[in-house]
Amino acid sequence: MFSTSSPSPHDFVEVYKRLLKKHKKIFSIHISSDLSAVMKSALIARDLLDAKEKIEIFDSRSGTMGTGFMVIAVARALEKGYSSGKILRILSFLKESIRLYGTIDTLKYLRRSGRVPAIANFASRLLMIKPMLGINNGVVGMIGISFTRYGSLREITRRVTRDFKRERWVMVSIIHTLGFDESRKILKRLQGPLNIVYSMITKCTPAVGAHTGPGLIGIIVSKLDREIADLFI
Amino acid sequence: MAKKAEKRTAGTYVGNTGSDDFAIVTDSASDITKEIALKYNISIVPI
Repeated sequence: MFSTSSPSPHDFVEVYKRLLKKHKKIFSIHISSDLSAVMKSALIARDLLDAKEKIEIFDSRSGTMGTGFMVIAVARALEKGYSSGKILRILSFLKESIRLYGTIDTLKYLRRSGRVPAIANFASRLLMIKPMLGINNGVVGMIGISFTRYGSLREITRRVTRDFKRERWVMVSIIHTLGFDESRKILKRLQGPLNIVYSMITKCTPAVGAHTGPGLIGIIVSKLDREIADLFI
Repeated sequence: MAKKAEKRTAGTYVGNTGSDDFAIVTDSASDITKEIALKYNISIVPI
């Protein structure tokens, strides 16, 4: 059984110090502060360096490619020469807009890391259900149940279609742990009804997989406004 | 027995530069791949 540990403030101090030798400002974008102590370490490091003006630390209130989308959007915005203010507006928009619809085979791993209550794991094992999960305001929660894996995958796909089919521009990432073929099928299914301007299939890093175990499939999706869509078209 | 994931397996410091003025830092829980990190010069702090 693997576990993870947050980087220390010292880890961040080293990275920030190195980058500030070459750059005037840093955007530091991280997993929800309700899911990890990463934000805390980053904030301590910034205080230690007395660099509040130079380091913008942003709590994504999300995780995995929810945070990743924000990082990619900022990278593309910087390529286009966007101002710091414009980038912060993009980050705020995405923070409010990004949704996660996921399913996993078992809650065992999330319970061990304290990210879901023990009672939820007990109930899912007792009833042999496949939990569907979402991230709401930075916290992982159950959004539904199914009795089969196929049913849970179909249901999260249906919900994403229902919630985003009217949006003019959408970006989607299918995340998985050992589920590439299922991910590819889901993305193909979403490409019909949704106007997807940017999509990717991502295998979760051990930082995420250690908490979900094998069998995670998640759909990270966000509506975009014109300014953000332009970054991806 | 629980085994702590070694930090080097969870991510890598890859980015040295962002744009001329700005740099980007994230953590490995963002699931940013090494390819994307290299493409955009993003620094990833491993978890």
